[in-house]
Amino acid sequence: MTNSIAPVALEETASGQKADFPYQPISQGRLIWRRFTRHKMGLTGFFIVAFLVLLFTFAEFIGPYNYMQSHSAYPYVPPMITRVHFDGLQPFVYGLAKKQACVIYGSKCQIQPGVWDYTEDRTKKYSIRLFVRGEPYQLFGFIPTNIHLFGSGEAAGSPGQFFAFGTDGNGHDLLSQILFGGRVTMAIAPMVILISFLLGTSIGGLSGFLSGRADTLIQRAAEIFMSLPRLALLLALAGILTHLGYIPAMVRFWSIVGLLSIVTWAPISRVIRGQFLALRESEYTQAARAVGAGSGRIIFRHIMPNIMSYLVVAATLAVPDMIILESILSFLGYGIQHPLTSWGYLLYNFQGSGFFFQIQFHAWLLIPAIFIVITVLAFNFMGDALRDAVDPYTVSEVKEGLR
Amino acid sequence: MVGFVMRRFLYMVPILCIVTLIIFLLMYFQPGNIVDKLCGLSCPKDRRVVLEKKYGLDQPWFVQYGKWISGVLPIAISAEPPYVQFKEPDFGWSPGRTMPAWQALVSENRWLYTLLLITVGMLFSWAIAVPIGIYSATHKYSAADHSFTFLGFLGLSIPNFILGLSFFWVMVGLLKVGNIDPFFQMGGFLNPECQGKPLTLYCGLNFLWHFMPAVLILTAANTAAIIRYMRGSLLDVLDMEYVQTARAKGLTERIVIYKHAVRNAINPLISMLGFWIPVMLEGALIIAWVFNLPQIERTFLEAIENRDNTVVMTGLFVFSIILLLGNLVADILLALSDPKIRYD
Repeated sequence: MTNSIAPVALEETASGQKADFPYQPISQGRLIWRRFTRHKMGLTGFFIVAFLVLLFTFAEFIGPYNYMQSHSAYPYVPPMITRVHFDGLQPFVYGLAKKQACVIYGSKCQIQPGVWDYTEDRTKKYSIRLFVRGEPYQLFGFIPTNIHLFGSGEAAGSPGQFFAFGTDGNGHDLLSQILFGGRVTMAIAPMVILISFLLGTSIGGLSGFLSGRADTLIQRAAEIFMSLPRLALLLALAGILTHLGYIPAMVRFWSIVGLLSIVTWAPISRVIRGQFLALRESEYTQAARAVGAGSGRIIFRHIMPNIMSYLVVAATLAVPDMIILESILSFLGYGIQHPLTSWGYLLYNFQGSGFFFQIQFHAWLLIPAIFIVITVLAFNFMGDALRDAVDPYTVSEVKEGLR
Repeated sequence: MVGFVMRRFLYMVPILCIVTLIIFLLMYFQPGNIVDKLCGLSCPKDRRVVLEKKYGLDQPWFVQYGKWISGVLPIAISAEPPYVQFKEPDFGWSPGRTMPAWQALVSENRWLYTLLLITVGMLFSWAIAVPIGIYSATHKYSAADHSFTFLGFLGLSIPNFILGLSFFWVMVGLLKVGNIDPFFQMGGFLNPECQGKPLTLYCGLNFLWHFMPAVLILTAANTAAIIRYMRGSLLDVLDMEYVQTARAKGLTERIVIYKHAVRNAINPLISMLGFWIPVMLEGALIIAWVFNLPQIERTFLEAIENRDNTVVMTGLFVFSIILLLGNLVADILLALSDPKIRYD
């Protein structure tokens, strides 16, 4: 398939010297790309993902604050994105004025601790500028700077703050947290998929290629892993991890990656084994064997290139699953934790007894959920389009095989 | 067929053995044990030894595993007659809840709630999804079909717990339903005034108010999936020649679709029934938490939080059994619906 030649009509026959020859051979990769770009939803998904990845790469720069910086004077500020005013073309915000809010119970108005009422102090104007100097940080972990893409440029205690998506109970800026959490969430999914695909491909490929007793053994192992309840096992394992006490942030991050890989490799290896089994019997593999090609050459030169496109599609469609699993884990408090953050962990605000309180008074803390949904949708659109592009005939087999 | 089911059933035994071993080792190798829980960290040495002996912790792991598994089995084997006796499975003692682990998991009719949620959810999703799937397939590319496809895509893409959180936000944050009438309280299975009371009309309606949103959100993904499969499957069948023949015979479109096409199109879906049981269980785990429902899943999550190892083990064991049974049912239904699969 990689070297196959597909005749496709040239789009502009008038230009170029090939005008008398109406067809031109194009590579399989170009063909897939062309089919993919024709899929509008898929392309939209692709652009959303690309945009998000760009945002998260420069999270510290784009976020107006450091995500760990708490502004203790401003807890639970509602999203200020709706409070941006314009002075000509110059956007500005009014100063924040905090007071205790009262909540109506029956006919009385009672002070509710933890609920604040923020009004605009019309006497003070703070313009929002680009490339302002703010809290210092290290770009990519080694370039020390304090320039943020946008912000009010005011000092930490000043009322002229711009919390675009509001703040949480400790006065952390939600937008900056979302950007940084998105980086963690978006990093975990590809890591897990890479690891479990490497595991799955080597184990499943080996199993499908060797066949016989080794195949049976590996398949039984995969079957046992698939007989374990995925989420329950994950929670139990992550629970153990949480109870171990203090763990450095990066160790926790990689442990979560490892745990997610443990519960995802088995179905992948099974699917890949099926592909190997089918391709092992194909005519071109037999031909390769007939001219004396060894196992390694057959696997890497003949079988792998042919299941590559399939793997890419399966990987893309597995990303949403991983994002959701990680979010659930962090949401329940067993995944990513402080000092790192992730979208699921931001929703941890809604955990436990504070649930109704938060959902009633601080609903903007649900914004990370919107990001989860957008990302999952984008990856699903992209995966669907890729699947159709790679092979227009087999529809919807990839995802079902992975379940 | 009976032989196939029997063989498939026996095949579960070795898998179950290894699964239980994994579950046991998982809990065995983690730091902290029941003695820490009962006696605290500053436990005097002699008391610790006594307690370890009492719970068999001084023995090697395989002996402990053997003890645990023989306790779990519902059959007791003895040397004197009757050689084989049924007994109540014993999953060990839960120090956190101060009751047997099995009791802790299923007490207060928790198993009933899990069962109710899953079966009602299953029935509901089928009752909604199959007609919509049929409608979508017979009205291909109509506006309604497109909107159902889009809704289905949303249903499959939005995780359960986010649907649940947004539902609570709409009800509590936006509509403030609790302020309208105390009847419309959110969370839990019943309003406090109805708990443990005989069923009245008020409490019955209140139960539905608490229960149906959980069911609908739990089955959102499921419903979307069934709509998708039903539509695809029916579209495939409608292209078949026998459908054309039925039309050519002069049968009404209604009979062609419901008697000839749908019956064949629904077969592959039925074979997937068993496959969805574990999916539902996974969803119920989160829904139990968000909706604060008294289910097995909630006990399980609480046990993880409180490091109640025996209950966690019991939960994992129960979920594995359900998963294995689900796979078994899926295989049997697949064999029944597809005559091409041979039983031997």
